[in-house]
Amino acid sequence: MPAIRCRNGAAGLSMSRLWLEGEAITVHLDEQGRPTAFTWCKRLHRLLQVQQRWQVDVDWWSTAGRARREYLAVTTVDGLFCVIYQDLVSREWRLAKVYD
Amino acid sequence: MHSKMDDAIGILCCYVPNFLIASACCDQPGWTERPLALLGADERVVAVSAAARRSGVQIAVRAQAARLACPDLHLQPLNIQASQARQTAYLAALGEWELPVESQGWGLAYIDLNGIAHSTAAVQPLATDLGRRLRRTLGAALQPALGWDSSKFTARAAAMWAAPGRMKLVEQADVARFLAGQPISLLPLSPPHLQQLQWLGIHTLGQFAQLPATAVWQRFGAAGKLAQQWARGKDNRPVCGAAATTYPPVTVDIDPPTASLQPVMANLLASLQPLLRTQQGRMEGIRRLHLAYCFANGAESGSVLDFVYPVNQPARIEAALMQQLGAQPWPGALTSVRWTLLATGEVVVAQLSLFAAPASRVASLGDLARPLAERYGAVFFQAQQSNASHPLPERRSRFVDVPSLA
Repeated sequence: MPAIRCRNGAAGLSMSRLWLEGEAITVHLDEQGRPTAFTWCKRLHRLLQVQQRWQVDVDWWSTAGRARREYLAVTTVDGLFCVIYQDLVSREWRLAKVYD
Repeated sequence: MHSKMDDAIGILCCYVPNFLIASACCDQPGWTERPLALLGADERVVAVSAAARRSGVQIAVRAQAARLACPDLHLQPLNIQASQARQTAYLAALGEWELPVESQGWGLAYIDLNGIAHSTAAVQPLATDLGRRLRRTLGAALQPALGWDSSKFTARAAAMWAAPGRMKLVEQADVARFLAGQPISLLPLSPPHLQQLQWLGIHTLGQFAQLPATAVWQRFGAAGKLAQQWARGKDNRPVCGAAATTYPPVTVDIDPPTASLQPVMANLLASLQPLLRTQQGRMEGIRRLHLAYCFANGAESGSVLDFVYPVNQPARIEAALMQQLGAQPWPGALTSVRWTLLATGEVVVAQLSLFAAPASRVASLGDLARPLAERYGAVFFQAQQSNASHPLPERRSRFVDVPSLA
């Protein structure tokens, strides 16, 4: 599924990219297991700051499958503001959203 | 107003849609699955499949431009011998009645039924017989649409209206009603004129027919006047067994003799201008031109310029001549060129990609998205919300691609 562009803000001028199924990324961790950078589209993005983090654990009963994830809203050195998450079942990292 | 004599005339138009593409796909059935365009000898597109046309590929563009319009385009050289063989078989099948048959290029021909059948009841069995014969000769992929009326234009409009394998017979009393609803693009006017009419809100032949004749003449010239008569169902052109031309050969002296292409082209084009103007007024074009070259060292040679479809646009003629003269060996400076018009034909209906055919209703989102999805894959999605408060975006709503929704 390709990225979906969503309008944000009252003026509706800025656009954000949302990957519904998540875009696979490679996350680089430090010794404590904290993310320091991620590689997306063959490009390394160093994290500047983790703005927010939250966990989701839902749908254990659903046929769609249990979703157990840790989300991080991060800013990068090169100016991206995005939401990444780790699927805590498969241990895979994915990019969920990039704010423009 | 038609006289009783005119009413007795009956013309059957036999039309195989997109003859060249259908013919190519008969030889290579695998080509039907992809957008297809055929390249002529001048390395320009001469035929476009429906899928390629939807992607914006137009006739007469270069291969590179065609690929830009449609990245998935399957570009193949036109196999002129195979197409010619099918066209010959097609005309031979039409000629079995031994009635006058006028070929108007690939897959389009008129049969003069004057004296044979004057009513739909009489024409119907004949048309059925002809349709069966053609299907037997050419196969189902090249089955024709048949149109019948007392005039060539209405017969052609009827054939283009009918689906392949079907017929549309237009009685004299129904001509005005039938033509009124047909799109203006059926008229072989030049693309700029057709665009002007579209901008003026003239979308149907009925609207065009109602315009004041003098205004049409002033704005669109002789071709416009003639086109309006056709749109009113008045077309008294007879079916000519052989589309003979009476235009005399023209000798162009190159003074001083030169081995350079530019002055030769300028002289040749200037000499062709009167012919092109006449043809534009009649909505006809050049199909075949013979060129004889005389060189300063006494050498002589000749070549034939064939156009896949009749052409009367100077730019198209110039490009073809340029290519022909460039490919021709020049043993010395050129002293004269003599051109002879060997065949002419009706200009085929222009392909307008800028304006779609006038729709009777506003197209649905699915109709708009489908051709784009065919070209680019699934690119338009419509959200269907299933659980607005779900913390995961993919489970709040699901996205369905628009064409499959429609």
